[in-house]
Amino acid sequence: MRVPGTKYCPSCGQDVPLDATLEGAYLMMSCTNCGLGLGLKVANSEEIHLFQSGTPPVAPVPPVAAGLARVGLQKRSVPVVGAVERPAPADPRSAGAAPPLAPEASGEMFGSGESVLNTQAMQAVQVMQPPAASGGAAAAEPSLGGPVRQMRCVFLVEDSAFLRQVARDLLTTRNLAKEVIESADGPAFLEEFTRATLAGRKPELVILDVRMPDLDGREVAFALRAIEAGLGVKRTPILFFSAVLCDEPFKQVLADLGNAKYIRKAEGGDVQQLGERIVAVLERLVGTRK
Amino acid sequence: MPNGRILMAQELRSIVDLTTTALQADSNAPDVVACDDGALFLTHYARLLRAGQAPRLSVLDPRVTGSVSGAAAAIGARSVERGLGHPPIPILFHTAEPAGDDMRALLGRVGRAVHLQRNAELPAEEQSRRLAIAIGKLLQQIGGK
Repeated sequence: MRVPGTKYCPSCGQDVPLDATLEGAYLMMSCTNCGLGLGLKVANSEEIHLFQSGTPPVAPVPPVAAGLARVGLQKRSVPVVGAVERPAPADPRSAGAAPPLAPEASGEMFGSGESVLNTQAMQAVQVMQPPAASGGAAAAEPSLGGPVRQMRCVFLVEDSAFLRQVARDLLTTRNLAKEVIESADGPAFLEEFTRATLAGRKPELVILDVRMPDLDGREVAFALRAIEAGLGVKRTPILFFSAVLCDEPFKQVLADLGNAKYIRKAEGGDVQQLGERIVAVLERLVGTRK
Repeated sequence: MPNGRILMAQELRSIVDLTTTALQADSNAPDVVACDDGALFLTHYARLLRAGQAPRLSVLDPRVTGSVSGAAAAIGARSVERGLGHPPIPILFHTAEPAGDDMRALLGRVGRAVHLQRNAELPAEEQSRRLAIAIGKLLQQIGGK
């Protein structure tokens, strides 16, 4: 739903209208201009508040609010609406089932406690595949498509703690993965991958963000392929999950990597359907395996 | 008996070849495994470590081209070491540029690494001779077999 009033979007650098949706335990906000998203998970209903704009910030500012302030959103002192005090249980499949946000409020929203700031675009999801099979070893490896089954182990590499939590919850609540191993950056993932592979726990899927500090997701993916070759194991399917455009060079990256797909958090989509769309893509990925 | 093994990632093949030649002037010359990109380096690195044949020294150009840069290969090599429970193997970064902020950050990031600037204006033979001397000194400092 559209929240009346405007908010500062750190991506656009100006005040723009914001769309906000409550999906289960997740509160999704997105800029209607550029699609930049802000997602918050709340441990319980009391941690969601809706605030009037124009009220001065409260001091001292807690860590999460400080994070919001860094991207131009501020904690406000006066809670206005109680309509979201009892959101639905923490089940991403219940998207849209939660009580709507009050239309009369102007949406300065934030969570506290375990809530984590996410400043990445979180809108429509579309899948892009490499232009052609990358040949060679990929042909003998697990392909992507077919009946859905549960994966034994999935590695999740994402620097946003919020997105890691969302993806992990989706994977586990939908029984898509028995085990989800998380890494906040590429080097930690490569280390854990090496360790797990030698221990006979090679993952069946790697979900990889593109924009990460230290090592870019593409470099991590190519490093992964190099290490797999060195360890003598088959190439692991890779799912890139990012707001980065899948342009021609990136399509070539997918082709060069082999057994890799891409989900774009594209602009102009329906935020309310985000969770369902992510699951749909993941189910398609899982389903492609025998 | 060769003095261990060196893994080099350097796209200037002439530097690799001439360095190898210069090293072989020493009777204890190490084996040199040369790679012309970071991905190949990482593949060799993982293979050697897993086979229990870890190199004594890595020589990397952090700007080596390819799908994995030399810098990323160095960071990836550290990840492989940790994943295999192997102690960090010394790295010599060999560049034509002086050590700037990026290089200092990389040195701090990977640890147990040194930087050697090569004089690109010198003939390749001289650059390689100097690199061979530096490698020899490093291997002496590292000690071991």
